[in-house]
Amino acid sequence: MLRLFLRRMFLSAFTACGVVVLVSGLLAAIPGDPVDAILGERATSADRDALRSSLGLDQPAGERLLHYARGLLHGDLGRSIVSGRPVTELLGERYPATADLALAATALALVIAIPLGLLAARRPGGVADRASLALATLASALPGFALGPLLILAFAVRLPWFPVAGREGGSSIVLPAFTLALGMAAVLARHLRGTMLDALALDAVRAARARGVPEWRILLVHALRIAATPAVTVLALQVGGLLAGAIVTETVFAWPGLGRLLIQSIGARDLPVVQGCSLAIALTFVVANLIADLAQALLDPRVGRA
Amino acid sequence: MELCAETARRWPRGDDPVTPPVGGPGRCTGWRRLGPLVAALGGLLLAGCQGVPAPRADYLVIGIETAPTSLDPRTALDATSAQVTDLVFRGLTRPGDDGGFVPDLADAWSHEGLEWTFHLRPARFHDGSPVRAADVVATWRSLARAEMRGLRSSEWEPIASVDAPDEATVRFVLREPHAPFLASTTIGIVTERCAASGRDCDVGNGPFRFVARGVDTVTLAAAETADPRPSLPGIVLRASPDGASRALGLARGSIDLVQNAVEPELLPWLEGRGLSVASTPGSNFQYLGFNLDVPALRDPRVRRAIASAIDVPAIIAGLLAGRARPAGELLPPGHWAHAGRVPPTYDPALARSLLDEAGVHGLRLQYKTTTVDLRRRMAEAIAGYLRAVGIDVEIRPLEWAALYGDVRRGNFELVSLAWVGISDPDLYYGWLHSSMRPPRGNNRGGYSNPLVDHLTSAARAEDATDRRAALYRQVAAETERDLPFVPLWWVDNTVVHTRRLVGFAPSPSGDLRGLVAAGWDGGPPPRGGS
Repeated sequence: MLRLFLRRMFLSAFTACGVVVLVSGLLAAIPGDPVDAILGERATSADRDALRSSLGLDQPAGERLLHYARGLLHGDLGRSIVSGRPVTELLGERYPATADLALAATALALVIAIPLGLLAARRPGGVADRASLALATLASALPGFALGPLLILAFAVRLPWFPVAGREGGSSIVLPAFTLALGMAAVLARHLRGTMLDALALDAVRAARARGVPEWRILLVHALRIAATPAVTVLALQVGGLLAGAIVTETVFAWPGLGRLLIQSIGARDLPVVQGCSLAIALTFVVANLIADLAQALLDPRVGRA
Repeated sequence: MELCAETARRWPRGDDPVTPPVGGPGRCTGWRRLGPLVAALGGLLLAGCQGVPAPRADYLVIGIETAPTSLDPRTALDATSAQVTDLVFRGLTRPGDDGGFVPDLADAWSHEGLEWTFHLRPARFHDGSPVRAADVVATWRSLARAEMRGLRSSEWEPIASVDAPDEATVRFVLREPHAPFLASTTIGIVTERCAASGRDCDVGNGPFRFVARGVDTVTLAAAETADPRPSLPGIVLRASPDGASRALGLARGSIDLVQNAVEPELLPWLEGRGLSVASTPGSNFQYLGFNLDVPALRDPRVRRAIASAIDVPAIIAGLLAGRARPAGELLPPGHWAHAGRVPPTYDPALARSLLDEAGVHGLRLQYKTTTVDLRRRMAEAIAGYLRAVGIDVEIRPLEWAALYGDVRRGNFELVSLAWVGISDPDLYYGWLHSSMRPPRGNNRGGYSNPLVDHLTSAARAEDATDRRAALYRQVAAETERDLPFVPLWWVDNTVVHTRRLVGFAPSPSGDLRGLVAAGWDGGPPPRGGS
């Protein structure tokens, strides 16, 4: 397990380098200038030049990248071009909000997906199976920017149970988390149904049935444990989709998270902040997969020994 | 490991058919081993779930599109930052409704030659200290310093010196006659101590004082030092990037006021839900820009044909819910330099005959605009009118930074853009003077007219307002004849607010200073638990 951990650490360093280079390259390739975003339309060329040189934007891109990489080694992510604030401070403000949302959505997705997947696998073609298929279709047809306003209209305006937007008080997380969770639950439930059907067909399960182990125990303990191992991998992979989906959901619900900071900073061509956000998202993805591997190793001892 | 002990007992038999246990007694296996992991993640979730506390219920909540980037008036350049700092700081002057400037911290000013003298009226900073001439001098001198990152160098450039002959008098000496100087005296004044410190300053002297800043919110309270004191106890500006959720927030009552940030088609719905929707004439100017380097567009008859092909009143009625006025020039009626030019008339027959006359057939043009929904629909409407007279238009929606980058590089044929917050007509100089092509200025279309060059240069150096106005009227007449752009409309200021808010008069430029006179009628609205 230690080797797995070390390998992942090495991988994350590699990922970080890749993200930094890729993001700088992409931002350099698209039109747009951070100086315009800051100064607006009416600035004179003297203003632009003065700001450009004070921000170090007049240096060659390669040199700026090297400078950034040197800072990165010391844990310094640089300063925002637009606000002048340290990027670590901005990330520190935003990361908890996104982490909350992602965890709440994952928890909610599991609560929806596990029973649905189990029931669907128990009777393929039955009511639960059809319901899970309907949910999957609905969830993929309803992206966050459509589902979000619908949920607000229903559960914040018509029935004033939750706040419309923002992150104030505990109940404000419910609607954005549900918006994110629905798509995730749909995929997860369908996947779990498939792996459960495979598990239920195993000789071992048939033997357990023959020995008279009660059906609920076979389903919840024996088969689910086998089926859960690949499902955990899918769950971890979905974290990537979750962070991408959070960009839309955070905008609709004015959730002060990383996704919105990323969108804003791309719009302003604020390279250090874009790099900081991309790094944070990429490393979260690596960590989520590490957690999934650890969970797999714990669930299935063969993984840990391999 | 307490969680694991039971597991070890529950999997005692080596002959379990499903998953044989591994390791000796006491080692964790199976579901229960996930316990600590789940508990850790759950704990993290609960720890963060608290969010931030809601603001005081009697504060006015304003929905804005993006959070301000700066709360220091010297670096507050984007629209939202300027809206906030306008409430917290006062400058020597502030914009008047006619595009001119009216006294603020200075109650009078005079100028002779290159020397401008401002006389301060008694006022206090939010920390109780009086506003002195030394504070003004220190604020202005700090504009040239490195911490300002060159953000305000154009304001500092024309100034040779600034000093304080006494406690209540500030004297500026300019390098050369520069009429637009008065426009920069609206910059908010900070304390001398803060200006010298090189830090961001948030202690102001305006009607509201700064209380707190969250990721998405800025909280202001009525300043005890303000005279007269605002009747609203405080204001919360809350960024909500999605237009639909701003409208839903208004409907729910968690947002009290939104200015110019609700889609026009949602206004009737909001009105139906008991909110007050009011529009007043605004000064933000929308236009269709031409790139005059494109051979076909160099011919004034083609530009005239395009202007005649577009039915502006129909677009205003259909897309903007009637909340705009057709424009014939940059400056709106009521501005001191408004020239009274009439908007181009919709005449598709004329457009076709002008194109015939110019010998232009099968013209194809690319039209760049932003990805904002309303802008895209506007582009589609205009493209439809142009197709009707035989001009094929391809619409290219681009995200703002990319569009702006293209426009500055001259990489466009047609583009729809707007001038926002116009006060001084010196804008014409940077926009239409032939020496002002990017990167020097904003003459992106490459317009060149020696008379306009002369008029805009002369107006900068002219001190007398009436003579300046006469020069700018001539500029407007020239642009009406040449059509280097098609003037479209001035957008109204549309304010949606709860009916409990009374006394708020929006300004043409869209700033929020009118909130000083606003108050609650019968107390703030119920917040509905949010």
